[in-house]
Amino acid sequence: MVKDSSNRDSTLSEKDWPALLRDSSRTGGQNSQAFKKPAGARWQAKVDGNVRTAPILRDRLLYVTSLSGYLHAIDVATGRLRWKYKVGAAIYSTPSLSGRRVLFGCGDGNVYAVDGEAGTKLWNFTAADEVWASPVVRNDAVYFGSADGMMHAVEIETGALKWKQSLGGRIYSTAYATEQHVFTGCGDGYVYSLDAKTGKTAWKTGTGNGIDSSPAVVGKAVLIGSNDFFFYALNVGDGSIQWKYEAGLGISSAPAVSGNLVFFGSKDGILQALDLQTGKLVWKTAVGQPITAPPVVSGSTIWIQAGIVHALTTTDGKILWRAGLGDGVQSAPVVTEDGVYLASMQGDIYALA
Amino acid sequence: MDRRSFVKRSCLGSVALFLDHFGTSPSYSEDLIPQAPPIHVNEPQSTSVSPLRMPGLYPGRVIEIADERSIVGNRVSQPTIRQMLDQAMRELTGEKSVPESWAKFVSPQDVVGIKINPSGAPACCSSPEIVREIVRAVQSVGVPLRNIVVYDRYANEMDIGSYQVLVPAGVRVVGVQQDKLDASGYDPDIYCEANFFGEWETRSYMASIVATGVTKIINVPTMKDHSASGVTGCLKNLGYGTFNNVHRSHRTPFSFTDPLIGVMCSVEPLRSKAVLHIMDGTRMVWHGGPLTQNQDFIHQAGAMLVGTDPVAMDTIELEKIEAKRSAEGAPSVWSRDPNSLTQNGMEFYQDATKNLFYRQPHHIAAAGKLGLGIADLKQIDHRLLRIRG
Repeated sequence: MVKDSSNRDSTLSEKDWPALLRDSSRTGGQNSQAFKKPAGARWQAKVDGNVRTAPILRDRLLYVTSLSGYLHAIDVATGRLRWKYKVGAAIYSTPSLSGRRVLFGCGDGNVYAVDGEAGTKLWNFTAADEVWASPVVRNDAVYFGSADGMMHAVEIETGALKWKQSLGGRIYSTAYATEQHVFTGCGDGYVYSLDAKTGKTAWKTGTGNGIDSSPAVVGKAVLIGSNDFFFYALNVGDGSIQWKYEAGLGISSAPAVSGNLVFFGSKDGILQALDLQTGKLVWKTAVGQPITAPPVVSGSTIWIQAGIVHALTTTDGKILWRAGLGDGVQSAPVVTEDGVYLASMQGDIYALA
Repeated sequence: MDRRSFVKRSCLGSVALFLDHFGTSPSYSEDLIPQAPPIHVNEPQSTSVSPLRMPGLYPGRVIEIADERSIVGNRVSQPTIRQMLDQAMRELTGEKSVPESWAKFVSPQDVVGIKINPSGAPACCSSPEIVREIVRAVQSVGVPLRNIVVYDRYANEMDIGSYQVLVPAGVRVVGVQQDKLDASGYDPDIYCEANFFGEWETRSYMASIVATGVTKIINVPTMKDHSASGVTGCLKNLGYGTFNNVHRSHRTPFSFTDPLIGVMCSVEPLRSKAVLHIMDGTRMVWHGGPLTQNQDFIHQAGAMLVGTDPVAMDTIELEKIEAKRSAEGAPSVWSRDPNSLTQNGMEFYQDATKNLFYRQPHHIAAAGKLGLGIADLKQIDHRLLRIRG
């Protein structure tokens, strides 16, 4: 995998979307082109069980995990199921792709690697408690936290443990990995920077409550929200607070970044855009439902799933259109040049074009 | 309890249960409300009666403790909550030490369920800060973390509340059902059966985690008005938070929460296992409950109610919400004015004079009739402890 300085995978086609918020850059899965308002659904499919995760896409296969314990592979040309793989408990983990492997965590404490074409298991690693975070791949390691408060690094080829590090609380935050460090939020209210090779803590910075938001690293800033109602920009080197912004309720939504703006939702139903350098509010828009999902940016449009699907302009937060695709939507869409794929909480998968 | 032995009983409808309650509220007119059908209960046969079963060790006693520092700017202060809870537990039990007060309700061998109320999350739900303090207290008695379960019926509401990440590692966090039709987490042998509106499924089953998964329940309701039942407190959080398929008891503008809530709370083993109630009154929803996110109707009251008698506690809660509604110029929850009804949910959520149903606050007295506690204000030992504010 080839990555540029921003951790973005430059080999990705705009038809691929291999991880939460597209790639390990976690900057919102930004496509270069804005996607126009969909004319309708090209197809609609139903997966086995409810969905609390975001779909991912590669080579015309859409991968969706569900609370019934299934990983589904759906042909995006037709909406038909190619295969599904069953594990032992509910899956709250958005899958990620590395080569032919589809990686995801599970309520049974395992992280699974499944062959993305054949739908067969390659390996599994067993943690001591459930894994809701999405596994993050960097070089030859897979990083993820578990509910017993342990951060893990395992070999991408075999699933063998490289290291594990005990943090101070439950981990539901999806990590962000750079060459040197792994960043994660934790239930003890701290943001941690761990040495990517050893797991040793480089720094930790406290917030006022537990964290289930997932960080993004942009330039010298680690961006993350907390259930203490604040959104933080921390210095990537030492964890010092560069700025923080106060929302009306807690923040579980992972941020997306586009240009000089960082976007995130808060549980009071407000989508916010802040200046990346100063943390000053640029705009905010009420979408009418609590936001826990991450926003996604494509060109000049920002998408958020909160109750229904909303599309807004990145420049001023004006709502362009809304689509009532089932209630209680908590996922994040895949936005490609061909169309948009999204999952509802009830397990309906839509291809919009 | 012998799991192989079950008994059936029937409860009469609301008019028969509460005939002597009519007239106590001037605005009440029973003519508007159709009579509830009989409710049939299938439950395990109890071989002995626990002294802890509702109304528990202290019938009629309600400890109200208030501290304005417990919630500031919508943030709940855990240190203040700890002080409030410790003081309330000592007052409730008469014990000098906090661990001794908790030891009256749980023992090291117990599997303790903490029944939260996440409906209304994130704006008003059982505060994780209170849940964490309960976990600490239960642990202090010798219950290992792995034997403490934070649970509710709806997993998605717990997700929005972020309970998974906000409780200590080791505690189990369980959502009984993943969606409205998921019945896999319920015990097919324990149910309440009634046909309210001609619905196709006439049974509501008890959650397996209550039937067999835990040995004690600490109930952590919130302090809210409720569009159908009048208020939601200890009783509704337990009854409608334990049995499935309860939404069928409302069909606008009517609701049979009276008497279904009380009947459900009387079903064993729920009645025996629910030994302590800690009502989160840091926030009080005085209109728009149970799901409102409208901060205009959420008062940061900074209070908590503690007791073992859910009927007495809900009676006090009802008084407090009525007083707040009156102060805000909203109609009483006892109102039966047809002009206040709306079928427009948005209107209901924006206008405190509107409601979706004829509310049924009588469900509290109904539960009292079933032996679950004391509803007569004159008989309730209401102790107000005000730390600050």
